[in-house]
Amino acid sequence: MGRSPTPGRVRRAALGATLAIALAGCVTPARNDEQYDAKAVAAVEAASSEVATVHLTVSQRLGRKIPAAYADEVVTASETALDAIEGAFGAVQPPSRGSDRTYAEVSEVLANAGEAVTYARFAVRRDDAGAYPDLLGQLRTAGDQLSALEKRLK
Amino acid sequence: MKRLLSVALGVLTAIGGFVDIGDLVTNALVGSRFGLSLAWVVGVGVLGIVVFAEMSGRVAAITGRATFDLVRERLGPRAGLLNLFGSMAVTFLTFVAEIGGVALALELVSSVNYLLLVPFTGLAVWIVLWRVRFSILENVFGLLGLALLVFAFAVWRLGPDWSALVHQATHPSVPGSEGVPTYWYYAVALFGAAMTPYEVFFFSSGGVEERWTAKDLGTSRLNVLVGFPLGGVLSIAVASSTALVLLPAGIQVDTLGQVGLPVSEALGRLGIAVALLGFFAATFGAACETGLSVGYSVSQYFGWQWGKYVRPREAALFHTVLLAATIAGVAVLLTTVDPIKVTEYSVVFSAVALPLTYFPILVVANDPDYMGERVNGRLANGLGQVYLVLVTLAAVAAIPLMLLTKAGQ
Repeated sequence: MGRSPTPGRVRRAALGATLAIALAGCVTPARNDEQYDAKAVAAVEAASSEVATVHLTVSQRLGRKIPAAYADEVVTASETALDAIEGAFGAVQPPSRGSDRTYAEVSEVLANAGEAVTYARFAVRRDDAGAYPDLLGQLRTAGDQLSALEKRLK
Repeated sequence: MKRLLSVALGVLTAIGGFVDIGDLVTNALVGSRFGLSLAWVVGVGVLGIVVFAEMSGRVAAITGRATFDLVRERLGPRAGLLNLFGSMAVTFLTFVAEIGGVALALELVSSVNYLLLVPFTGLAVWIVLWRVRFSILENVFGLLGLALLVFAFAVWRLGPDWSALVHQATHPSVPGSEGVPTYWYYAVALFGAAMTPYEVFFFSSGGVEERWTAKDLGTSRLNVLVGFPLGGVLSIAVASSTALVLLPAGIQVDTLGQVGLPVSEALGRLGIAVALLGFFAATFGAACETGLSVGYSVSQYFGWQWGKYVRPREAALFHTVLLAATIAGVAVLLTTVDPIKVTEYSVVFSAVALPLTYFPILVVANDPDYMGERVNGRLANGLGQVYLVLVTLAAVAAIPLMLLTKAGQ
């Protein structure tokens, strides 16, 4: 015969479920190199998406397909997201000396991407159309670096 | 002629009012990650909402009473309270997401941080809920929501390989870059977004507000049978646009701004201006609908006077709930919680709460004491039971999938 749920048990189950859901989106530690590499890949993938967003936005701005305010908001949101990705990855402790190298490589590529996106934000906010072609090149390079690193880490 | 216009207006508002922040974000996100391989879920969800909206509309027209009015009476106060708590929590979460969505849409136009816009958005929503007539609220935002048709136009202008798109939609498979649990997590999220519980609360309570009778059943069915599926087409257009522009570029949607980029790519500034109008109308209209749904559910459960067809002073407790929900919604957003994350969680929790909403509707629609000769026929019952199994499966799977995939990461 099954036990009937008492109020205490229901409360504990509800608390457990709430905590599990709340923790679902949190950064968890990497216990070995494999887990660390998986986090590195996730960070690089997410950063690639943000760089590609800024690239598309700047190219649309160059073609006057998108209003300045809208472009500014999209680029600023991607810059904020990149900062958060960099911060979250940097907060994970590399589990071994070997993974220090991964940390250095990912950090460098993320920093390059962040810099390209920041310059894009400067230009979009100033509506400096002359700077857009160079910026598109920088963003493409940052995107290529991210893709190459992602392939290598996988 | 007047009747024809009224039917056309009902259908148009049903199309324009179908898409809310949950549909927008979830469909755009899914399109950018899975292409159209999850389009089938929108079809399944739309058929489900059609089945249960028709039932709840019929219950409202025949009994003159809305969903929660009957839930307590039919299921008893304890089961009714559990139902109220679960459904209202999800509707409130959706309300928070919609207010956040309005603020985000306004931020894209004004460049003012959305957090500064949230209190004004809350105030505007509350004033509309308090002062504006039900029919105006429903028709104006429903019609303005048709601006989202710009996504369908954008897809056409992008000149896609139509046969490839149809093949993707009709031969669903998990893309190589995504895991099977993630695919099913987003299937549940899309299903929850299409069948959001507030839609039936609002539909049935709206029927009572507009004093539907058996004579209005034809119009109500037409709204549901034509309007909702066309609203579903709008959802698929949003997913198609991101599948065509963002997926090849490697962009995964995590902001409302990204949702509009395929439209500007295809149609330029005019297109994005229309899309922004659509974002605003869809989220503001849905904020009003979810806010009202919170007030409807609580008032109907406790047997208070409710509705927009009586003066606010005659439904003081109903309006107090609306005010309290708006203040609480604004307070939640001011904690700086990301409205897009709230949206993503709200559609998944909608899936969890689906049986709480749809089981009582099926029970009441089958009860001859309430419905007389208008009880469910074989088709409605068969579909209702199949969907009850589906919503139960989605409800059971939602939280484990969320944990397993770290909320779809």
